[in-house]
Amino acid sequence: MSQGPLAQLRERRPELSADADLPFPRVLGPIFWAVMSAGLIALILLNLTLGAFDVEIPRIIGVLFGQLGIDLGIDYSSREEAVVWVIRVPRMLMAMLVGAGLGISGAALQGLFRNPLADPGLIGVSSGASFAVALAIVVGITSWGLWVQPIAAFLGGLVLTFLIYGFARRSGRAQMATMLLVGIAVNALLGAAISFILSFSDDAELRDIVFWLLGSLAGSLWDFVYYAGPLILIALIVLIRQAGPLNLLTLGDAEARHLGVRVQRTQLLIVSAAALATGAGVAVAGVVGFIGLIAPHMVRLAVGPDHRRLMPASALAGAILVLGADLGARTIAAPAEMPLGVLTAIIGTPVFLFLIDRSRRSLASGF
Amino acid sequence: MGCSFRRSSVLVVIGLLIAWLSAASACSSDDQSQPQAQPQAQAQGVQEQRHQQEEVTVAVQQEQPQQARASDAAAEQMQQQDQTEQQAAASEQAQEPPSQQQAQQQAQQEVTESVAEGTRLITLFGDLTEIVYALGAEAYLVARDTSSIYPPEAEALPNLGFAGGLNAEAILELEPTLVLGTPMAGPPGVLEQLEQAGVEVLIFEDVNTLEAPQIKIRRIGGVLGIPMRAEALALDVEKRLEAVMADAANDKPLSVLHVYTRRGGLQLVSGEGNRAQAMIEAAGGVDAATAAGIVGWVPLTPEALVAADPDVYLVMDRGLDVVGGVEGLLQIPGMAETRAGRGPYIISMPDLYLLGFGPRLPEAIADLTGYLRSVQAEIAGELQDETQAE
Repeated sequence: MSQGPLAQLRERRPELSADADLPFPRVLGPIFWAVMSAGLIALILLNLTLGAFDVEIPRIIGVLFGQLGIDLGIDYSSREEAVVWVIRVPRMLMAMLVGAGLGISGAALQGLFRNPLADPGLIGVSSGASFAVALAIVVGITSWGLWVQPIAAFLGGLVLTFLIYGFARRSGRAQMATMLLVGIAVNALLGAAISFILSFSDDAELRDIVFWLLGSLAGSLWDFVYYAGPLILIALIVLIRQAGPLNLLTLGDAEARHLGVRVQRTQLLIVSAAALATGAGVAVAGVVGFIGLIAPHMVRLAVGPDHRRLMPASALAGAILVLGADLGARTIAAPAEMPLGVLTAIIGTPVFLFLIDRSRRSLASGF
Repeated sequence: MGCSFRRSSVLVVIGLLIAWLSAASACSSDDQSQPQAQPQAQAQGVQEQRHQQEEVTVAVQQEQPQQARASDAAAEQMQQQDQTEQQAAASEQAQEPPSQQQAQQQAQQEVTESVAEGTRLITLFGDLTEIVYALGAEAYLVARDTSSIYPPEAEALPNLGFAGGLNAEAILELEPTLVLGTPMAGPPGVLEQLEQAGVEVLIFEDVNTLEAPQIKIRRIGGVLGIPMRAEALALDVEKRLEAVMADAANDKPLSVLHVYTRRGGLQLVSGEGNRAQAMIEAAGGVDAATAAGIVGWVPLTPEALVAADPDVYLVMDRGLDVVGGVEGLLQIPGMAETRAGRGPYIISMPDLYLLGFGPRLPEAIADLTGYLRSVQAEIAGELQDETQAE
């Protein structure tokens, strides 16, 4: 997007300007990015070094370089290699990808729907995926192979999102307010359908489904990284490229159209990319709640409402949150595993309440 | 506008269809319940506790020269004296007929075969753990899942939690060479990770017939390298099975309904093809749900329950606990309105013992047979009372 209309706009509506309402002085911007990056790196290192299996740090480095084909002369057992390279590294990458996808989708959808409560679940990805997985488990086709569950989740999420979008668009033009309402209604319907499936399932299936609904990165294989990773990265790029039009869309569809935004195309792109990022994440990790909702709110206070900064920051915050939560999931209850969704909720709710409280005091307007 | 309205109604119809299909498929899916068992090896019998004293007398009067029956009654008496865990465990051991011990001694004499040195074993369901103990290979066990609570010594092993939510790293930390699991074990990615790390993972498909223990025993014996010991145990289980089933034959079989009770209002009834059907028929009963044409698990509906009108309810200890014992069970709509509910005749057995289909299957059948006989005797007694009153 060219700066022209936006600059004019800032003059007219100063509250939309990126710096207008920052609760922190602008100098804090670089510090914010530095702190976030440091946090991300620290969590990556913690995720590589901590776990139920004790591997010494030099040996971890040895394994990592060994995989890159560089022999540092550090001895490590094949089991240590397996723990680091087969379990920890793909799991850490998956956590970052899933978190980044959820965070950026949340930011984009909150902007698109002009609603601070919007999250990736609203467009039906999560409930469509959950319904498809619950159905697959109860019907018994999950025993066909490792791929049934992720594919069912991915397709279920995407199909439902496009059904909701198609429904909202039936009068010729997609009304985002309509899509919000349709999303809520369809989510309620599928919630009932999932409960219905749960009521029929036996103990084993019930726990399978509930475990999946709570999300887990325990089964993150390299294959999942290879397949879900590119999808999430593509979605990230598409969403970041839509940041400019999204800024204008916050004014309203008509205003944005007058400013030269192709509203329908932008809406469809954002909805598709958010569905792709979330759907690929849900397919491998199950439903990881709260991240899409709180990651944008966490960073909005620091970087302001400009989507060009908000969306990358949300992706970063999402990655940090999921990395942190998964670290807890792997280690707190070892040798057993904690459901990831429980931890994201435990971390997410207090953070969210704190942010609400803080923004009520410091921000009079906007979300 | 008209066109899009039609499209939206098509969507609604598709939605309903999906919901309907899911219901239909859930009804027909032949899954089995493999609920967690509880540590107490309760042999709590028919009816409420205040009736237990009479009942045991009934059982003892009826007694034929049958090992299982006598030990069954003994188990119940011990249960009444003391309900502590240790006592319960002792009573479980008392239930094992000497033939199994003989078989184990026999097996131990075959010194020619043994489990490979360095084998480190993890079992991810209660029945598999039981079999490893019964094969005398427990020294090689390094961990278990949360459902593996028999024999009581197994509880001393590290607990990996629910078998469907495993932590790959924690498993590798124990350096296992072999992991035995059921289809419930997962998430699937974790099993894959274990295999990539060089751990052999064996999944035992569920078998819902009385051959299940022998199949599992032979397969575990095979992978552990002790096929002869396993064969001896399998044959022993088979022999004991034949004996208890010959004894269980009943010319006036009671109709028994297995209800899988759980918190939250919705109860399931077990029908054809489930383990409960095999159990009930082996113990000389008639599976009320199978007789009513029910296949797999279906939600309990009060009217269908009253129409089926079973003589006895068969439930699992933990399931009975969560609905609030016998009183809670009878408050479930329809439950009090059958012959079983009016008695009330309720047989409750430990989950793993009743539906685990491990090496204790013959004893479980013998117990169930005994409980069914007690109920039969009590019903006959009541009829007599009524005639006398008239």
